Amino acid sequence: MGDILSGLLALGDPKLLLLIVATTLAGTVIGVLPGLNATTGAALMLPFTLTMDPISATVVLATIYGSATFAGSITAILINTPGTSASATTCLDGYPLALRGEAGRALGVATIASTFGGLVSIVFLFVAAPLMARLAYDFGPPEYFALTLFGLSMLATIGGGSAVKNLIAGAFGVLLATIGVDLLTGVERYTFGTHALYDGIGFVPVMIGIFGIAELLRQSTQLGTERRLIAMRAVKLPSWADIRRIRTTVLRSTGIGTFIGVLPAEGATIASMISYNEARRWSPNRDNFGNGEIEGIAASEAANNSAIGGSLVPTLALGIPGSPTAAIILAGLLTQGLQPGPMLFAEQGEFLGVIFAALLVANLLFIAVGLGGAPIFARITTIPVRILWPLVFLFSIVGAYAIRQSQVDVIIALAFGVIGHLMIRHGFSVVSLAIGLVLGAMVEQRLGQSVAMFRGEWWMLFTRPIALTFFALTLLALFGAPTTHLIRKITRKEIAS
Amino acid sequence: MRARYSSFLPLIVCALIAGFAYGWSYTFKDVPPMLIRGFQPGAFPRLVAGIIIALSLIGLWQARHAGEDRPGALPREFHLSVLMLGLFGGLALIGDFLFALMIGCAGLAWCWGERRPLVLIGLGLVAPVAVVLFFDAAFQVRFPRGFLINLYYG
Repeated sequence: MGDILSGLLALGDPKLLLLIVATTLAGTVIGVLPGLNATTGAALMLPFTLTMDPISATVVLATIYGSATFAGSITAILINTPGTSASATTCLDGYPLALRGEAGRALGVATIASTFGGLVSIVFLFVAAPLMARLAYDFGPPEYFALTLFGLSMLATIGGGSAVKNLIAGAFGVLLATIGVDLLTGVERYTFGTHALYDGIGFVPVMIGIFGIAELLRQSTQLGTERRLIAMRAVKLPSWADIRRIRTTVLRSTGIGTFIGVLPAEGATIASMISYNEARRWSPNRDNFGNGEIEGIAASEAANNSAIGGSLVPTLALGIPGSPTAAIILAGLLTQGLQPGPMLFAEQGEFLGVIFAALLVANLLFIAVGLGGAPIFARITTIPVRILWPLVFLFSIVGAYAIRQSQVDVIIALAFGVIGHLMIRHGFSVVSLAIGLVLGAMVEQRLGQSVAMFRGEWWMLFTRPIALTFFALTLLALFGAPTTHLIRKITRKEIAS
Repeated sequence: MRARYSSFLPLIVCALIAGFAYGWSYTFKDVPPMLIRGFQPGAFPRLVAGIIIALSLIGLWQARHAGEDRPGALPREFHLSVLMLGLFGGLALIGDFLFALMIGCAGLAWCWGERRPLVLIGLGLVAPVAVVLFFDAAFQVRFPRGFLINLYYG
């Protein structure tokens, strides 16, 4: 509690407060621009944050995450184009409501639901992250290895694509992390004699490539898309009748969103989809879903914003990213020399207090941005892509170069842009690649430490109860769904015969 | 058969890359047993490459019943954009970084259909110069020397 109070006091620093306001506005702009989302935004901001102190850097990335996710709803409602994939379900009811001339009401509901979901999940973050970190005091290398493996196994369920392809992408990320000089033995691996690869492949150029440049290439395939901005006078606060109608949905969706966020690698998009489906299932107005039902908007927005706080719990407490954007925040923390985990809470209490406090302030700012600025921000979507994306290219390239001032990093960003586009085109998840890259070094290091700890008798890994639990969860994540599918298939065949 | 081919090809490419990584890992030096912390430097990459090969084979097994999932043809703008990225990369390496940025920015806008001279000048001249100056002044980023950057650094 003292850390949170000191964090709030630290916000008295006008520079930090200004940074939060500026980042909230920047995140909102990123969120409303179709094609740019919280993950891309965080990847593009990563180079800038490396010139900052760790507190400011983390505050910037976390605020971008929150504000871009929130802002995705503005374009979802006004132009039927989700600014971020997490707002895809907001389109389903937001746009029909806007077409009926109730865009202001739809945005009001989205703002209130987002802010509520965000605030509750941050309170959850306050409480759960230190507790989870305390549990992690009992973790040794075997437990961390098992946990990281579990985090990687969750990549199978990312998005709606093939589980096998997602796992291949994640494994390639882990393989990429082995490039460079092995820190334990000093042996070069996959450097091919290139000095620039001795330190390995940096997170930042790869992230910029697979999220920024790859999206640029995807945009080049969609140049003919027309967007129609719906005219709107003002955003309205929801009436008491509206609030009574959405309150149960908001509470349920906040719970779902926070829970989904905590699961490794799952993020706001899945949270909003599950919450939307649950809201439809439980609502007395279920037939109206898809035709402008405010419960649908509330479910989607409360869930996607509450997933943010949830996803930061395992990221900060255990070093396992709870979402794609959290993976970039984790990369930022690692690049700043901070190792998430119990020691971070023990030694950097104030640092975490500032992050919590900054997220609280950012969430409160959403009300001002959502209620006052939505019509202005919506106009940003009318910037032609042929002007916007060359500028994104410019910042991506200079950002990739700036980290190590290396032209090789620029080439890596370009190469991963093309690779990322090919991956997306053929159904491989770039998010899996990113998470594999971030977790790859940890997996190897912890496996190595575990094997050394057991003097080469690696099977001793299975004698530790916590590690064994995570191994079981890993098996469940990998084989649970296919096994259930197989059992159902066999049962159906038996019934039919 | 063409549809099957499009399902198989990416997985075959994955398996080949992983196979190459697996084979190349045998060129890593082994360290004396007393220096080993867990396992030899080549063991972990071999394990991961092996997993990728196994997953690719599972993917190929699954894809044998796959229907047509051939992605649609890419438009001209996409190919021009990739060419522009290649041109940028080449110019940045052998020419001048700032000049490459200018060509890259204006070239992308041109490839995507922008024809207004003022906009092209803004994107191809004003924006790159402003961004390079901003990074140099605000973040002390030193850009690689070239015929245009030298005008600034002297």
